[in-house]
Amino acid sequence: MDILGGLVQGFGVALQPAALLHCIIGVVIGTAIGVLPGLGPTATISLLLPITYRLDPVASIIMLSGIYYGAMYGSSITAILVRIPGEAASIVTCIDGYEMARRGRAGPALGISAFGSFIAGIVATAGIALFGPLLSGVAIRFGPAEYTALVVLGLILVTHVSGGSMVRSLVMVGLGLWASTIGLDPIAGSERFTLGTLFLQDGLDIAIMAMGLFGVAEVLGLAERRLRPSELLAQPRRTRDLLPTGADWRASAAPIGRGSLLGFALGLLPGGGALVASFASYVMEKRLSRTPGRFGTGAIEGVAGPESANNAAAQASFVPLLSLGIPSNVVMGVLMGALMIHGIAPGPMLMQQQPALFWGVIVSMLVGNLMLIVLNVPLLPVFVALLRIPQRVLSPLILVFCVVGAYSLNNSTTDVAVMGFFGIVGWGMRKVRLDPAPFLLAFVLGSLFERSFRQSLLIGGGSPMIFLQKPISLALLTAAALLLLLPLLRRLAARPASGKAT
Amino acid sequence: MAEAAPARRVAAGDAAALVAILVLVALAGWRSLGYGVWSYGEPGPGLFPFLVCALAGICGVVALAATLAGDAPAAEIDPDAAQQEGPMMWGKLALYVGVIAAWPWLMAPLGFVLSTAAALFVVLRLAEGMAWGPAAAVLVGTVGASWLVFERILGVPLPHGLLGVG
Repeated sequence: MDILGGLVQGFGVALQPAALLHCIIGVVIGTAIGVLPGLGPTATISLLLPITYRLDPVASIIMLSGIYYGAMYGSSITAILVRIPGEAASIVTCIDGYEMARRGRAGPALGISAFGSFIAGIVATAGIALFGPLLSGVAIRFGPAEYTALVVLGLILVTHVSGGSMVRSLVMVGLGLWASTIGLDPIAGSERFTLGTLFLQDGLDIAIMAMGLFGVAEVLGLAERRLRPSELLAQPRRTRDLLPTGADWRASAAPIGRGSLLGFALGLLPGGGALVASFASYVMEKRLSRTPGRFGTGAIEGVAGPESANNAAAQASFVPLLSLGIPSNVVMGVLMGALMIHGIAPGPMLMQQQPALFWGVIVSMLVGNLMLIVLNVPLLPVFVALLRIPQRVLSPLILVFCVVGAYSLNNSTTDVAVMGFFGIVGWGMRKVRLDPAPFLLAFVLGSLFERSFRQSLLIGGGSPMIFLQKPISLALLTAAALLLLLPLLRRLAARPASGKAT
Repeated sequence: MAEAAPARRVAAGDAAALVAILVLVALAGWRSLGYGVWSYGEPGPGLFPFLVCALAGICGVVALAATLAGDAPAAEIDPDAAQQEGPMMWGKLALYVGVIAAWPWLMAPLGFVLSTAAALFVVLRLAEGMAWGPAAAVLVGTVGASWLVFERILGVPLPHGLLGVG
């Protein structure tokens, strides 16, 4: 079947009333759980799996995938408004999105996030339809050595996300990677750094840590001194005034385009996907900007690029699943389970055997992204109205929100205590100029890094030369080395010039 | 004429934090060796943590040296700093920290409703100094709404405790 014929069939499936209903249910649930920290798309999709037993397989997958990309958008709402990333992929959005909100520009930040995600969704859907089967062939060439090199590159990019010193960021990366090793060893199964406690055997939870390091730490940061009369209160009220201006669009157009393409490419690769894409986009925009100093102080490009990238990546991650039967992340793994419940084996034959499902799901993503815009843009004044809540009321509300979110993950008060611990640590980190973002991002990538690193050494007979013998791995490591040395080379290049000046 | 360089100041808090990190990674690195770094020509469970501890340690030493030389980054990584004024309110901060530390231990025996009400009372009345009326309204509204949404609508089994309600 040709692509055009497939798309026509896909529209026929996705525009049926039942499919539309499941799509809207999926994106609404997705947005809601994206807003709530703690209850992520993986947990929600897992909880809803039993419901899909009775549903048509196409409707099930349309609803479950709607939850996934709806959560990507929902998580950016709290990242922008209260600096709590609902999902790891929105950690980067906290940096400039929250700064925009502080400066009375929450509306444009939310608006550009919604429109950027929509445009990225269209680009990604077109990419999946046109290049999906072709591009998934590239992803299959990634072995452990290539993944290791990719993660190394990702971690060096992380140090560029941070506004502080690169050496301090590397300290935090090291600590984040170490924290990811707490629990059971992924290969041997032996305990590491658990201090003999049961709850550390499963390792630390990313959602718990994110809520502590960002949500609780923010509450403590707000409590430490008296607030000036805030610009947060000076947000416009009408939807028209909350939308991005012409200048915002001009500044955001290129970052949205670049973020969509970058996100699509990175989303095809197993591993970080949306997370890696969001911070890679942020670093790219900061490097390309003529005024990089604005980043971290409310630059709209710092929201437009990463938000587009994470949405494009979330959708692109369907390519390896549908074309190859390889789940590129945990959510895709659960979706694969949903397909197998219905006796459908995802893989190269899916397109031939289940064309209605393949093309229906792809077109439903386009429809779902349109629904997200239709639902969320009119709700902008409601989201922004949250900022008018006085800080003395908002801080306790954030605390309750985080406590219930942390508890609901495993119905455990220990998780609440761990979140509180990371909240106090996160506040302390800010005070001593150690950025929690590289710590958290390194923690997320840690398990993939260790697994692929050790597998590579096993394949290479214990020799680290395997990383230099594979062309893709060598290219990625060279890029990482250049990025690492760039600030040093710049400083060396600037030294003679400044010497002459004095 | 060149401007006079600003006097360099050693950030004691930064240095103390970096020393604490160095102690932590030294202990973790030493423990990693116990897990086995290499055996029978294969990487052991301790190899990766040992390497990342070494990375954090080396970078930590460089960062500490720079800090002791008065070369710490100028700005705090604190998004609230620009919005705030006046001296540190240590008492208020201590109340918040106390609530965050005590809340998880009170959730099981008291239940969600009572522990949240107690936490909100301390924060709203004592830390934020809110008047009785508004504080009671916020307390009742927050506890009621969160119980309704999480216990009743989302089906999260919140701890029941003394009152017998989640």
